[in-house]
Amino acid sequence: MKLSPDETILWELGFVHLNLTIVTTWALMFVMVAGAALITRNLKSDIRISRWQCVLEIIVTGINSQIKEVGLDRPEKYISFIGTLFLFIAVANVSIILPWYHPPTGSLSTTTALAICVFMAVPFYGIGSEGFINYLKSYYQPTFIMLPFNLISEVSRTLALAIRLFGNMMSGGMVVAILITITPLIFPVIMNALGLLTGIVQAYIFSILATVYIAAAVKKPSITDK
Amino acid sequence: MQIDWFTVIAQIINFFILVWLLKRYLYQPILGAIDAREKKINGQIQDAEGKREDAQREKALYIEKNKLFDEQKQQHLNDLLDEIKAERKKRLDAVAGEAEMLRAEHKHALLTKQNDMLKEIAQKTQREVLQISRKTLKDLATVSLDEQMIAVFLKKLRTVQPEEKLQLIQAYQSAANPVRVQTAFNLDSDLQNEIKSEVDKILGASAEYLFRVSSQLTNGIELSLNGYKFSWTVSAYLDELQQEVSETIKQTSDAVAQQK
Repeated sequence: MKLSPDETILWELGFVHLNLTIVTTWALMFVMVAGAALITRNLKSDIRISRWQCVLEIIVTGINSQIKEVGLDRPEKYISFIGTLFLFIAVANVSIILPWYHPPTGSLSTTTALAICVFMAVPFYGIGSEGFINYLKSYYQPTFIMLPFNLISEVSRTLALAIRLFGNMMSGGMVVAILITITPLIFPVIMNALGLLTGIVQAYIFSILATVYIAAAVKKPSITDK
Repeated sequence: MQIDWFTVIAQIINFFILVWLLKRYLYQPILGAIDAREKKINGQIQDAEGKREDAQREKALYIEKNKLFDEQKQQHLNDLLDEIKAERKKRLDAVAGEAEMLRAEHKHALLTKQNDMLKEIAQKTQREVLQISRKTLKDLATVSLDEQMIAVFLKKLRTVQPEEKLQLIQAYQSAANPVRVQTAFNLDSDLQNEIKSEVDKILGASAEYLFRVSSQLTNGIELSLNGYKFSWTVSAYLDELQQEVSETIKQTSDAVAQQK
């Protein structure tokens, strides 16, 4: 039994190889981008809009409001990163209802990659907002003694992000696989439904934690003024 | 369960590509459409606000105009009523005046008619009286009334006042016409000669005479010369008689009043 889709190698040439995780990710990317392009091709700014445009607007404005609630004043600046994080994880997790589908989020490599992206995004937005020196000074806060702890915190929370998502998705797949062998009739369906819920919750947790980390790095102008 | 670093790198690249693609095809168009709609709605709201203000202004103007119109209408109505009243009064006055005038005309016509009737009665009466007198005189004294009237006329000529005589002479001297003598009956030549001789005596000259029968004279004789007239008629005689009787009655009544 394969625990991760990384183990399914489809093509290999030395260090370079295509596994199921990468191929599934490409497929998801294609579906998401093609769907978005198709729907946004005929956008209307009238009062009456199409249903699909309405769905996308609900998703985008929902993500925007969540970012704003966390404390980032200009959500349109962060929505590309945080929104993509949420949508990718959510679509990858919800797609488990498809047969023979293995979510790329069930691969530790993918979750690690996403965690590394968050790890890079935090200083990127922090430096962009506060400047390089001020961002580095934040590691000394409240005192220089906190520097190692802050550094450990940065690394540990990245690890936590990666392991949390991977653990949840992998365990969900594992549980369904085990249940299919024991009681193949009803319980796998229930667990799959539960997996859908878990997947959405995990996408939300991952993206909201990323938002919190970025918000912590970006000082709010109103607070600075006070 | 281990980390495949090639997959990690590939997934990081995949993720950033996805970020760029979704930014290009999802977030930007959707946020742009939302912004455009918000602007459009704001524009519509502002437009509606402007229209609402315009409508309020129009409403206020309309109410004001309506009020003014009502006032003007009432004013015109009042003016019209006043004009109608004035016109009614004027027409009633005109009709009343016309009625008064018609009444006066009618009254005048009645009086005229009455006078004409009285005059006619008087003339008829005179004619009847003369006829009776003529017949009576003829039957009793074998004297015609015409002859008697000429006799009276001649007597009046003989006793004419000096002023009147002078007037007759002056009229004769200034006139080129003959002396006109009008009677209600035909005069025979003896009576004509008598009159001629009496007038010639007054004038002191032999004048020319023109004798004429006039239907306008009921009875009596009239001598006219260049505007001067000398006559004796039964009407004048009766008028004179009536005047004398009236004066006598008046004097008598005054005397009775003084005695009381």
